[in-house]
Amino acid sequence: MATAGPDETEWSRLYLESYPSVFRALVATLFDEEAAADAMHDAFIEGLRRPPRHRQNVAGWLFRVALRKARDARRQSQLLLPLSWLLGLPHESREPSVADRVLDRITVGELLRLLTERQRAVVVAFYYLDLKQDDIAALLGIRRGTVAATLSQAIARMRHGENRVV
Amino acid sequence: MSSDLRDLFRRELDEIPLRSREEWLPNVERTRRAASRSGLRRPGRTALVIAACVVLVVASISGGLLLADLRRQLGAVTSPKPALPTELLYLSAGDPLGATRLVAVSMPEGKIVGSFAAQTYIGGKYAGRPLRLGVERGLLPVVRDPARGEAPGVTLASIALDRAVAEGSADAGNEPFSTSRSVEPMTSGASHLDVAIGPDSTSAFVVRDGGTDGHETLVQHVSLEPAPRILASRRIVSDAESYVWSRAVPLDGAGVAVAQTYIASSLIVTQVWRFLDDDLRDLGTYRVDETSGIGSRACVLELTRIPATHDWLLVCTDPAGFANTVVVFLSSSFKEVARIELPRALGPVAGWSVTAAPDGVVTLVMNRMLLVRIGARTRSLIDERLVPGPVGAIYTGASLGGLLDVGNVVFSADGGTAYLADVGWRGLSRVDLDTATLTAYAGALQFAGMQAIQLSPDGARLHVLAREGDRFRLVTLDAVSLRELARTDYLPDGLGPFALLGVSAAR
Repeated sequence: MATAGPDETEWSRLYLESYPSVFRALVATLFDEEAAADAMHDAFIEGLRRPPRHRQNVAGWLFRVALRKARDARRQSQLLLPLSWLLGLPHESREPSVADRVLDRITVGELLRLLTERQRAVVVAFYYLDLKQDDIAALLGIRRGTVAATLSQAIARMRHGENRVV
Repeated sequence: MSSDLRDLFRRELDEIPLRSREEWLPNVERTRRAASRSGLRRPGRTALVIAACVVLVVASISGGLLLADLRRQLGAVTSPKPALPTELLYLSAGDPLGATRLVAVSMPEGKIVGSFAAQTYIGGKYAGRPLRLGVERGLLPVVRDPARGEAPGVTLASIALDRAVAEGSADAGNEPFSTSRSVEPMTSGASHLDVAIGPDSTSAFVVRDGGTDGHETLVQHVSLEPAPRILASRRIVSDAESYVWSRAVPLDGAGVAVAQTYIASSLIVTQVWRFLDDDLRDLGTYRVDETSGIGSRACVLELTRIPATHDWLLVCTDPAGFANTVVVFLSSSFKEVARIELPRALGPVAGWSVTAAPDGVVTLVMNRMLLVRIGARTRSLIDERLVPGPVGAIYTGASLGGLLDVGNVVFSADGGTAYLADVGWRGLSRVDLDTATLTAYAGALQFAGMQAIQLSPDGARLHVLAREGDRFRLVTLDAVSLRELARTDYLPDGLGPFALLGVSAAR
């Protein structure tokens, strides 16, 4: 059932409630803690401007919006790359964060590395955020059948790459 | 399968650490501005426009020359890594249960500048640790070899650590080693000798076990200036039912604590601590046995001075985790004044990981990844907190199935920071002990493996003996950020370094 959008205080509360799981889901999808943290901030601002219409699935909404924001930010930084090169600006190499290193250590991190980012998004939404396939389809703007096919391909790829998936 | 995968994802992804709660929400001002703006909303877009304008202006003014100049100037801004002071790192190399060497390597050059054949590991496989060096000097025991025509006995060689040169030696005599000990499991190693150097590096104490039945300990006070010279000797005969093995801890430049350990007939590990002055006269005795109520555990002992109260802290922990850890406060006259028992559920204290801060807070790192804080002034437990970050587990030190304790917990001199290398040597964490927060981390991407860590004397750099398969190299990190500052080529094959004994500024 649709409800009125939350005010700023209510939105902050909903956001903070969902932050831990969505942030971790983003780190596991993007493999970039810094980008995940920035994307969470952007999604929060987006929520202030255009709050989600449904409060039942704030985590799913945040995950979708933050993913989009992260991709936008990445596209923009890629646009700036040739300019940096032309100006001879120092290229900033990113130090792996603590979260990045946890992903290096855990089995799930190894498995997710076998997938494309799109597959990771679907797998993480399904297995970690506990979203239903219909919800994932709605959130990512794809058909339910595509979600099922992506999940199936991802599992096959993980199983092929690692015998640890049973 | 689906639920298994779901469990795996939940369990493992929940290990990803969260940022501090203050960082969850974006900056409030920026948020409001961004929410109200309708034009250039993103800093990235703004940067793009500004950068495009810069390019247009630069290109229109003069082109190549100006660009070259700009590049030169920007190159100066991104300055190279600061020049590092030359330091000498002392490695223990060889077979810890056989022949060992002390090897000096200069950093950041990575050149071997000294190598001394000497005993650098104390004790055996199940109860041992690397030799401890002083701040300015090391006193190396060299066991003479009759097979090479040398008189049996031990020579003590003094090493100036800032130059990696020998400054003379002294004959410490021959202390026959009990033949009955060779069958005892606790002494499967080669060494029966320990060295304790005072903080000013002007004198040292040497303890050696001997006697026909292995009941005797020879204690020698050795002056190190200008060359080793024995000032006093004393033989301590134990009332033990079995052989003893002894260790020494310097008492702040005013004597030595000698701990004689033995297994009583009741199979209870017993330790007798004797506190001696510089002339090796008795200052006090403390017994860890059945009567003291803490003798029933296979106790690994640490003696730590608390600067705030001048008490001594004796920590008795069972590496196997069967018994509670006991923390005993000894007064400056070596009498027990208080005792705290830590439940065994907290795990044993990780090897040599007790530190006392100037404010009187003592921190113990437990191998179940807990930081236990004790108030030295109130002589009571303050709290127990989880070690932050992704460190999985810490070695408990020796006595666990042959693990050699080569030091994977290092504290800053002020006792406020701990550097922890985890059990698989895959991660290195810098932990603020006041707040129990992770302040820096270096891990698997930087090192294939780590063998030992050690801080520079000024605490500004952390040196890592890094292991890649069977090959080793030394890596220097910034002690605050844990970013790499320098690394050597591989050390020569066959060197076999296993511990980092100390670091000294080179002269």
